This record gives sequence, C-alpha cells and structure tokens, in this order.
Amino acid sequence: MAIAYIKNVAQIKLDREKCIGCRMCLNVCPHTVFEMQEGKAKFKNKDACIECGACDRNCPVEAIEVKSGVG
Amino acid sequence: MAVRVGLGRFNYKISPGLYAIGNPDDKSEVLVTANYKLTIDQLRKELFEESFWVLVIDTNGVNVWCAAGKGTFSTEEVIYQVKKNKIEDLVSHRRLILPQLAAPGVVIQEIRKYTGFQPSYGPVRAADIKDFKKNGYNATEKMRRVIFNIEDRLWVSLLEFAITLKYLPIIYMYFVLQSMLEKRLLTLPEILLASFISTIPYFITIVIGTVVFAALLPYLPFRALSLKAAVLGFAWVVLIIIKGNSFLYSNLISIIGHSLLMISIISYLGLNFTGSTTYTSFSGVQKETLATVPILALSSVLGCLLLIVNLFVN
Repeated sequence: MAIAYIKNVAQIKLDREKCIGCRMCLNVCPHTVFEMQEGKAKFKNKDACIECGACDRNCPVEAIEVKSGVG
Repeated sequence: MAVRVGLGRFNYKISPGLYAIGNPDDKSEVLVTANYKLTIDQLRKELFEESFWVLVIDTNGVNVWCAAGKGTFSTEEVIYQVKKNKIEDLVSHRRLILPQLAAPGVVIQEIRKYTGFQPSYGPVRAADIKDFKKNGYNATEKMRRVIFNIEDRLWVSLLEFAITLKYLPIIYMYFVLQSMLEKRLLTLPEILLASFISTIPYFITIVIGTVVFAALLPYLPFRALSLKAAVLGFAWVVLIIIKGNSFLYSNLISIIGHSLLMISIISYLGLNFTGSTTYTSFSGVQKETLATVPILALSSVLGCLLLIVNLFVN
C-alpha cells in the first residue's frame, strides 16, 4: 500500500527543454516520480518526491533541480 | 535483533575493501556497497549460491541510502576504493554495479571518467539482484521502487520505542512524588508499587506512539504524521476516560493534565517518525514541524503545569 505525504511541497524542477531522454532519472528515482513521454522525461507523480536529489546529481544535462535536505 | 533496537548501533561496521561471495573470477560482476554489517549480511544471505566480487567502501558503518544522503557514500570514495583495491587488474570487464540508493551521493559520469569503469545502478533490494542479473542487468520499475511495508515499519518503530522508553523514569518519579505528597500510602513499597501501576498508561502511550502508530500508518486519516498520531492519542485518552478510575487518575485537573501530555507525546512521536520513513520529503517535514511544534509545546507545557498544580491541591 502506497502512503502519500503532504501535497504540493516537494521542491523539484524539471526543464523538459534540456532533457535528452537518457532515462537516468527514471533509473535512480525510488518513488517513480518520472515517466517518459515523447522521448523526454516528465512528472508522473511529483507529490511522491522525497527530495533525495538522486535525479539532480545524475542528470547528465542538469535538467533537474532538487532542493535536497540531509538523509 | 539487538542492533535493530539500538544496542551497539553505531559500532556495526566491517573493514572496507574487497570481498568475495562464492568463487568469483575475472568475469564476475563487481558490486559496490556500504560497510554497515547488516547491509553486507543481507547481500551474503541473498547471494550465497552465486559468485560476486563485493567492493565495500567506507561509509562509517552507515547504510547505503543514509550514507549517500549524508555524503559518505560518495563519488570520491567509490573512485578511491576502486583504485586502492586495483579492480582494473582483478576483472577483465569494465562493469561496476552500484546500489540504486547510492544515487543521491554519487555521479556515475565522474566515476567513469576517473576509473575507466562503466558503472550502472542495480536494484534497491539485495533480494532482487538475482532477477536483475537474469533480466540482463536491467532493473524493472518494481525493483527500483522503495516500499515501506508493515515489516519495515515495525522494525524501525522498535528502535524509536527503545529510545523513548528512557524517559519513562521521569513519569515514574512524578507519581512517586505525588504519592508521597498525598500521605495516604504509608510504606515505601506501597508507594513504589502504586507509582509503577500509574506509570503503565504512559508505557502504553509510548507503545501507541511508536509500534501501534507504525503498524497503522497507512490506515490513519490525514497526511501529516503528527496529525495521524494525534488521532491515535485522542482515541487512547478517550479510552482511559471511559475506563475511568481504573487508572488512578482521580480528579479533573489530573485527567486533563495527563490527557494533554499523552496526546502531545503520541503526536510528537508521530512527527519524529518522519525521520524514519522512506516517503517523507524535507520540505514536507519542515512544513509539518513549523505548524505543529507550537501546538505541541503549548499543550505539553499546559499538561505539565496542570500536573504540578495537581501535586499541591491534594
């Protein structure tokens, strides 16, 4: 059972213009926040983001920006 | 089990370096992991009949995910251990499998640049590594998702429970003091026993705030954890009041005081649990904390004041 946390607070930005469709964000995200659409990443469930910063760090073109905390 | 409840939790590391599972050769895969003993035990348990190289990096005995978040499972440390253990001479291929949950701490492009290895992310759970291998070293969506099932929740809540129990003697001392001031009970053993019985509802309060809360987490209303817990707190207090004097809280002042305190404790423990879950975001926790801490502070201070007043009215 998926438990949902507080809505509309996750500070994550995705610049679809920059995205090259490498799927790295889909690979590293532990909460399936992204999906592919027309060869580029898009948000599937932004509220599930826990701001771990994995996608931000591993995006090769810096298309994602996460304000990540500690832990 | 002992480690899970907090005994020796911060001294449960193994030496970083290269380890072998089974009989690996120069074609075997290299798995990178943290030097937390439970993490490595898990790997060994899941892969005991396979052959793998395991490169254990130094995360100070902290698990992969937390170490990645706090910067010890880092790009630099992975590069350092790959070079130090001469992995390039060990295997004929150039593949390196990192745990997916290391991703908040490492940049695989950098590791490739400095080691010549082509790292890729494996699944979240060691239990999926065999299927990951069968699937051509591709993690499926299910393997990539972090879950937080009842078993996970209960394990982490046990630690919270053990940590919180330390505060129980304070409550016990309060009841001892109260009994002494009442002067109804004469002998010391009687006072100690009565105080022990009075403390039991607080013991149950801690059980509710940790273990029961963790078990019921998905089924409680609201999204904020402090609110979910407050629901349980109210339910517990209502139960005590309905059950009446069986819990020895005789007058109105003490009932209100204890009720406020117990609800505050359970709600606080719920808020505290945001640090143990796998699904809470920093921004969300910040919002929740700013909103509830003033209320919790007010109600617990008020509860304590009423209980102090109660000491002298009798």
